[in-house]
Amino acid sequence: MFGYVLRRLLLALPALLGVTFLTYALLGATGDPCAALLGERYTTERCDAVRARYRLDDPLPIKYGRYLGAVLSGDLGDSVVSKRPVAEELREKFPATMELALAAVVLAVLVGIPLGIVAAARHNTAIDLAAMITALIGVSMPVFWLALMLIYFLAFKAGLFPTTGRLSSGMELPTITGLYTLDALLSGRWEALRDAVHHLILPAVALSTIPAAFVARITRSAMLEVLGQDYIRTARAKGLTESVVVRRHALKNALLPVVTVIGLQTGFLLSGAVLTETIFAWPGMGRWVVTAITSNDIPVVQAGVLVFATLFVMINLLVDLSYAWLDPRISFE
Amino acid sequence: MTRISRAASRLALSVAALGLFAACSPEPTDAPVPPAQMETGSIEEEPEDTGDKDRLVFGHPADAAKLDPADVTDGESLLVTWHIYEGLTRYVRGSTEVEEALATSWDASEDGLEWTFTLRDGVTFHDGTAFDADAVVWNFNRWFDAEHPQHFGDWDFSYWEYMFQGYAGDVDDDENPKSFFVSAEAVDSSTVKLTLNRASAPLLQNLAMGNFGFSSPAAVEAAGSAYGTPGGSIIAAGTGPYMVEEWRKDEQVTLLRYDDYWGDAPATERIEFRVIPDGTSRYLALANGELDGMNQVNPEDIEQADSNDDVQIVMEPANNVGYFGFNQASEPWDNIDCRLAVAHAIDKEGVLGLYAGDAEAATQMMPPGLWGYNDSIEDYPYDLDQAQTYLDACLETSTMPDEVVFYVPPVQRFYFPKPKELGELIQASLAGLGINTAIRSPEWGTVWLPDVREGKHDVFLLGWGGDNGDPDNFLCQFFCGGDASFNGDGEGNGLSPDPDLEALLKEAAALSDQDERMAKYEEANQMIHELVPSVPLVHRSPPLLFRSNVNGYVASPIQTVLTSVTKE
Repeated sequence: MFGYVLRRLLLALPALLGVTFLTYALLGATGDPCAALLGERYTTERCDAVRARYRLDDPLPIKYGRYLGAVLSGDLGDSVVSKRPVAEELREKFPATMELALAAVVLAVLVGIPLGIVAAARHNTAIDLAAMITALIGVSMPVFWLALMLIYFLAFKAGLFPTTGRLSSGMELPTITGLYTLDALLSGRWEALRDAVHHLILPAVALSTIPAAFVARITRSAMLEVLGQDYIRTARAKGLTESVVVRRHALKNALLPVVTVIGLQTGFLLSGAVLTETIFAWPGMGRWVVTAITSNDIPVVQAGVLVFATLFVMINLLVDLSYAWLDPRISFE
Repeated sequence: MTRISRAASRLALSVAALGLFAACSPEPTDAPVPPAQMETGSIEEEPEDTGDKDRLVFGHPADAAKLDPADVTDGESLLVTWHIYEGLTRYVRGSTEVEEALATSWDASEDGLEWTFTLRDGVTFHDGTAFDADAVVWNFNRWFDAEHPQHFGDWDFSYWEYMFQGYAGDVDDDENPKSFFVSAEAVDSSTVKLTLNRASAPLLQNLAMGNFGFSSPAAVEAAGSAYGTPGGSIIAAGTGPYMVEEWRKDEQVTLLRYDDYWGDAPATERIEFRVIPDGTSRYLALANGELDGMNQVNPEDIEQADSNDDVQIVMEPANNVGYFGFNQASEPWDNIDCRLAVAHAIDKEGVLGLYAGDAEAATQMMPPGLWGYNDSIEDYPYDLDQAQTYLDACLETSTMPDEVVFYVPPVQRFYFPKPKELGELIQASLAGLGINTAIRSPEWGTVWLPDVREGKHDVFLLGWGGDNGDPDNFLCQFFCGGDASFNGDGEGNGLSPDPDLEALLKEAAALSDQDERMAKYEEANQMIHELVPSVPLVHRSPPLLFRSNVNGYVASPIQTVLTSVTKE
């Protein structure tokens, strides 16, 4: 097992290197930050000064080598726009994205798996049809539209939730992990916990619709396949109730593809959700990196891509490892 | 239809489910009331507020990049730093004129090369250290000298370079210093002398700019390069009416009233600048009572706000111009008749149709609120017959190319919210005269701006937002030949579109008497109107929204300052 994990991690290194090089080359080809920084004040002289300051005129391999050397020594560089260390900005953004993504994944799993199970168990009935139409709507609904509808109806019209942000005005909370709900729990501030959860619900709901729909659809098809197996017929023949057949005998065996989808969706959600973060004023990774792309803030984009790539590698590894737990026939020894 | 109705029923179910959650939530105790717990409802109901009359919550689209004003160029940073820092002079509230701030008086030598400022007594920085002549000198040295230990290596104090024209040691092709600034020295603890190498009339205007507010030397030295960032041991220490209480990056900056402030104490104890990037979300947060005020309003939300009794609209006076420019290095735009033909062919009423009632037609290359604006200038009338007459006269001696290269910004600018539509509108007007234009909108940063600055265009759309409330900042910016947008030598080097105009503008910038300067700029505006190096199109006024229970805001063309604001 340990050997397998080590081998996978070593194999990830060339992938990460490739990702950083491609990003670097592509960003270098699409422009430099001086014009984005200078705007109407653009002059050739000022632009040259900016390029000299950030040593942008060096050949690509030299710039990339310099960048890689710095990253290996733990320095992600400074943002060209804010001039702050990228690592410091990353530490601020990642917890916000983590909190929102985890909440969305939990919601997606809590809604998607039961919906898929019910649809499969009631295959070809009105319930199945309703569940799959719900999933279709979930996967087709534009997130920005849903987000604005949630704000308009539930926050603005009904007043049930705050419209935006992570915490109310004047609410004090010490920063421990950067995940406000967790920080509130750890510091025992129940009012802040309630407030943070209250702020988290609408963006998490908006963000969870697409993954929930994916999870529901994949759960349904996996369950249908398993429910058609001989051992399920045997279980039924033994007189087990349908509920026991589904929960004890079918579900665990159907989970393999579901876990894969959940893993992939978690990776996507952790990469930041630009629209949801923008509309709900959620200060996460997605908005940070996209803003950096528009201003050609190469160090920030590089750091973002590196984090996203690492996350995907790690999540894929965890998903693979979970197979062994879900299916004893799979072994990594 | 089925899909819509199912979606609607699902939304209704979600409302019920989430409502249940809200109903099950525990009641608040003595903590500040989160907005969601208030009895909010439709906008027709009772006005709500953020629940605390001593806390003003202002929404804006992006967080401050930094709270060190010397090192920022973005309006969102300055929105916050205006409340924290002060300079030697400041803008009279609601105007672009300047008055005493940390300097109580000043004298200039006859040649305008030595300025002596008397400093205000009894002023302290937010870290408790005294504001005195040494602190002023330290700040000037930090801005001017790139080798200063607190200039922090590759930090770029851009506005110093823009307004003071260079750093210590920078020289032009003739080995003359680029900057007109020579030195700052402390005459005694409350007197500072600034020495210049050439007269610069906009000096007092420049010194009032938000970028030249003084930081506590002790605080900057203690925080090092983390000064002005959320990670700094001291985030910011100026002398202004508010000090930083808390900064949650990309969420909010909370300012707290500075009790030892030398001037009138601000009305509200705390101001919270809350970041909400999406315009619609920001408006809904305001309408919901979570914000007391906001800037950067979406055009469609101005209409909503107008019909909402709980919200008031404040239009800030315009401090910008959007224009159509000619490259006089390119035939036939060196011919004034061709330029006049275009000036008479642009329908400015049509142009204003692209705005949400927040813009006015421009007759000059600087906004009407700025001194030096010439009230007697009448706009070129929209008259296609007259345009045709000018064009015919032009084409007797010049040749119109088959295709005029027309650079239209590919990105929104504040003064041009719909650049593509504006370009097409003008293209159609010119096509009516038989002038065939080819719109070019290449990538803004890497191609568009360099091309226009190097004169690779025939005609173009661009604009400018004012920095320091001085006409020089508009007119010389355009017409003193800094780049090849309006005229050039064909090799990318800039020329003024007219040497007499350039001379007049440079003369005006060197005068120290304000009345004389005003007369010169009025004359320059008349000259520009006659020379037609460009067709001024619009001045756009930025709207602000406030809840109806907010009073006392003074609209200003140059700064959004909330110190006078109260909540009922």
